[in-house]
Amino acid sequence: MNHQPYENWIYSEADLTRDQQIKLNQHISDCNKCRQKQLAWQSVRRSMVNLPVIPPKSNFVLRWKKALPNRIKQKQENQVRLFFILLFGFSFLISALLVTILGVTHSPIGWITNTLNTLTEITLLWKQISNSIVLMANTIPRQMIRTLWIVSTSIVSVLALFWFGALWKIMKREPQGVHTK
Amino acid sequence: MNIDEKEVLKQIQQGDSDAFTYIVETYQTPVHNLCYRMLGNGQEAEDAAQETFWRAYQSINRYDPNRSFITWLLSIAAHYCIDQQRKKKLLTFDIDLLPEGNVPDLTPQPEKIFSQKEEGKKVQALLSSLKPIDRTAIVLKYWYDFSEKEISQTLDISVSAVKSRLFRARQLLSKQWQFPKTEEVKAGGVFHESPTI
Repeated sequence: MNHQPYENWIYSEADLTRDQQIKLNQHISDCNKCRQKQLAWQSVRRSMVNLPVIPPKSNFVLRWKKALPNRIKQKQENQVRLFFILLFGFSFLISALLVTILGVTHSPIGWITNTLNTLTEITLLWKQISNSIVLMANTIPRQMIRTLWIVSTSIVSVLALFWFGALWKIMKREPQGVHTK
Repeated sequence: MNIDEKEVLKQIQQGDSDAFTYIVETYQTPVHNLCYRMLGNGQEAEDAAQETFWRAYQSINRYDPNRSFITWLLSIAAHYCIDQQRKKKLLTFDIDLLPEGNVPDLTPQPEKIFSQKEEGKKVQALLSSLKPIDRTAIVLKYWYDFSEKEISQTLDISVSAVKSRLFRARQLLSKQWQFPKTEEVKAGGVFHESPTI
């Protein structure tokens, strides 16, 4: 016995014409297999439709509100982490590119020679700066040197204090957009 | 969506995160129900529902007001649950741990309550045998009364694909209702994918 298109009609739940409905009913009354299929599907459908909706456990909204600040904080931390990873990755790529270009355009020996020359110049420059400072220190009175030293370390200490204070404030601050009651 | 919800969404998109609590209160049950029917486990459904609202909160500025909000929200839930099931691969169904918040039957007859619970377990076991997307389509069709067009928008598939999946799912569910321990069920199902899907 041919079960098409009856099986399709049973499972597609499409709107049937009057003629199709009559044919289906006729086939169902003659074919036990299709009748069983139709009854099975109707049972499944009825069971599904009669099942209740499952609500969440009580205080779902409270749990959501409680978890939200941590989620936002985690997201911000992930964004910072991603930013630094991208920054270092980009820097690494640029450095690798520069090294490659230099390696291609300059010979390794010329590279080493230039690097050593540059280091020597920096050392000589540093030596000149140190000598200038010593010369200045010898001409300026000792009290003034002490005063300058105290003033500069105080300024640096105050700035460092402000910096730590700002960092501490940022860490203690709640994530933006969240108001705890 | 009613006017109040439109106003609430407007406030959320302007940066008022407290207003999102209204959305959670309003839609916690439909979202949780979908997650439970998809995952079959109370704790996982709770986690999935919380994650759904978090994802909606993050992407609220991308919500198109011309689209139904419940469709958009359930789409997020459905995709998350489908991903979770694919990660797990082996689907389990928690028979004994139905959530506490079950709607109680008003009749005092314990036999009726027991029979409803057993029927619920049977249906959940049947649903567990379907592929994740097919299961989503069935749940959206019979619990949320979504049209095929709405299901296609939720799952980002064509309407013809929805019809095909629903057809196949009904066939499989009926077969398993009739023969609960067929070889196909034991093997996890043999699905013949239509080339259009």
